[in-house]
Amino acid sequence: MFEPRLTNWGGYPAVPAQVLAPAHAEALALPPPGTPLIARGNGRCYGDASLQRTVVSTLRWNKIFYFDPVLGRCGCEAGVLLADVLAVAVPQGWFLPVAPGTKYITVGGAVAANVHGKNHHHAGAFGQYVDGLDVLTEDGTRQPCSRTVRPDLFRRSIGGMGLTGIIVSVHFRLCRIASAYLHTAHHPAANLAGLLAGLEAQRPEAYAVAWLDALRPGRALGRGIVHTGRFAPVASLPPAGQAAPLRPHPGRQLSLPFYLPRLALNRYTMGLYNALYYRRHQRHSGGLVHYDDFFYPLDKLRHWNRIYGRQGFVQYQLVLPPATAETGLAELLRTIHLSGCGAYLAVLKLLGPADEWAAPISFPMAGVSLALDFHATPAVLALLDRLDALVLRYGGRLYLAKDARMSADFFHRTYPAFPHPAAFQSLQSQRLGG
Amino acid sequence: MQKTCLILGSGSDIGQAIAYAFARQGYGLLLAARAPDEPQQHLAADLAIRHGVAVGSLAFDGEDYAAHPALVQGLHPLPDVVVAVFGYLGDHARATADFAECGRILAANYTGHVSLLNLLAARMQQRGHGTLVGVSSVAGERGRQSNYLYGSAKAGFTAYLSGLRNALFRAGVHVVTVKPGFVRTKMTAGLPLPGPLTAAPDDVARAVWRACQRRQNVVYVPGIWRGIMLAIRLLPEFVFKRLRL
Repeated sequence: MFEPRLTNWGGYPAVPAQVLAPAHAEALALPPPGTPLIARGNGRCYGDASLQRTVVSTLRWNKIFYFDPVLGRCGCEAGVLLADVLAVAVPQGWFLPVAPGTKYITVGGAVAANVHGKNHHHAGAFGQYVDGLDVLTEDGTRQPCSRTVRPDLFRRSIGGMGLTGIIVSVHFRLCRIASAYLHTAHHPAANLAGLLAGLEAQRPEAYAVAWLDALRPGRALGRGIVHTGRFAPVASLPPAGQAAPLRPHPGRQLSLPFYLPRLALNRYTMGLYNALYYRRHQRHSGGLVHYDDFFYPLDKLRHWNRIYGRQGFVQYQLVLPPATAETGLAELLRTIHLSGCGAYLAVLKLLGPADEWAAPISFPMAGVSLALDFHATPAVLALLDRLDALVLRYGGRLYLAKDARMSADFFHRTYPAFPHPAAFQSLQSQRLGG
Repeated sequence: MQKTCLILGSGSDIGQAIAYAFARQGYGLLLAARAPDEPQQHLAADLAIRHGVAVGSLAFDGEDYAAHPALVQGLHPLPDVVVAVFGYLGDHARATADFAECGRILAANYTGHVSLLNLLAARMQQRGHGTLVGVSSVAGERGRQSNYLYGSAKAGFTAYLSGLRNALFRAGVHVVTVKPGFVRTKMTAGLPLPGPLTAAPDDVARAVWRACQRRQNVVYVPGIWRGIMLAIRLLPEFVFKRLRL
């Protein structure tokens, strides 16, 4: 039988897989016991967290079945995209309480990975806004769960990477906005210490994130820009904005129609880009920006992952606790620089304490998070093993939704054990030893 | 006043896509499916939430002819557009030996449509305007050994729609025949369907909307099937009967 190869956003790894796409959860014919399954939404995790020989796609479960514009509550099937929620919510004055870097993930995926945004230090992760879930468990039944009903299943399913079962539907809360626009500001910093101080200084802002130039050595190591934003009141908008303050994002995207050759992105082209990016934001102080530009700049270009070429890329996202963040990040950046492997996109965020309602393998914990993109090459994979050792030494851990390669040993030293039913296994959970 | 569209067969992928195509244009919807189960309730809610249109649901069984008159008389007001998109592919090999299966194929793809559309056509004719859309299939153009039971039912449906169009023309009621070729549903994702010959449910839905707007009579989706089926119809029978299709 023809078996297509399935891959997630990083394009690495690509594995043969059978995709079951039932019209609704009841129509899912569970394969015989002993066939591990994993749910998959829109495939925007980077590595193998939603890959398996047999994958259950939730993309046909795409119905919003209630939306309360007074209380800002929404109930939907797990395969609804955040973009769809925004299209309904924004015109009625509501926004996602947690906005990750792309709106093209499913709500079920947002729960399973307990995604965070540029406001984790104030608001926590997505799971904190979930009131209830329906989870299809290994016996094939649908189990509603919440903080009061089957609280253990509920907690373990938030950030549980789909290992407790298949999330079928989600009930969650939204947050009020007066307009779809944000007042933003840019704060340049000449090095890592300055950047971390800048991020700390902007902690009171609703949203804060820092871009850094990971290709700069020496004294300029870790130079970058802190971006901040807060939703704008209607009165502060220009007349055109006041006329339609709650305009949702546009439905159209440009598309990158083919893979770029791997050589297109190298230390020199990216170094030039970084220098231009830094200079531009050094001169511009910010301004009024639509949420789509502030939260989802990469969504403008469909298939932007093809920039990295057909061989794919890996994203490495770590968090270090506050006490070791500065020393640890500096050493990580130096190690990357010495390796000669280019890290292209580098983003720093503040994270608040670990969420109260989340699985033990949920990523966020108090500290500073750094995300880096690399070409998926043998040299990079060797480098990442060395970075793992540093992350371990500085008391940090890695985000499973981005991971495609960490070792079982490293995983077990950074996360507590997470026993789960044998029916639900991803290639990642098998790699990490159950 | 908001125009309305009745979808007979809203449980299918194509029926669902057609519902969204009309909702996007501001039509109120009446969804008719075999059972008002949770997927149908969610579909109705989602259409209303995303597009701000009125959505109603009703249960119907294409093979329960006795229930059809009450169902059609109960439509108030009579919808502006009716799309008949229910159907049943069935198991051809089984149906050749088992008339129960065969009868289901014939009823779900032909007689059920005739029963409902006779009643709807009469009411539309009386009113003097409206559009009836029948989703038939290219399989009805010429019987092939692999699915001629389904194909013959669709052939009957196609001939019926053609006659109905003729009969209702002077009354101002328009009839559209839609003939999809291969349709890709998410169920067939990854299967090697021939790309240029394959439509997505949304393509069929767009074609239905366009045909209603432009008062087209017979549309193929994708359009290339018009040429293919012409060629297939022109094949002499002494050649055709030797083919393995």
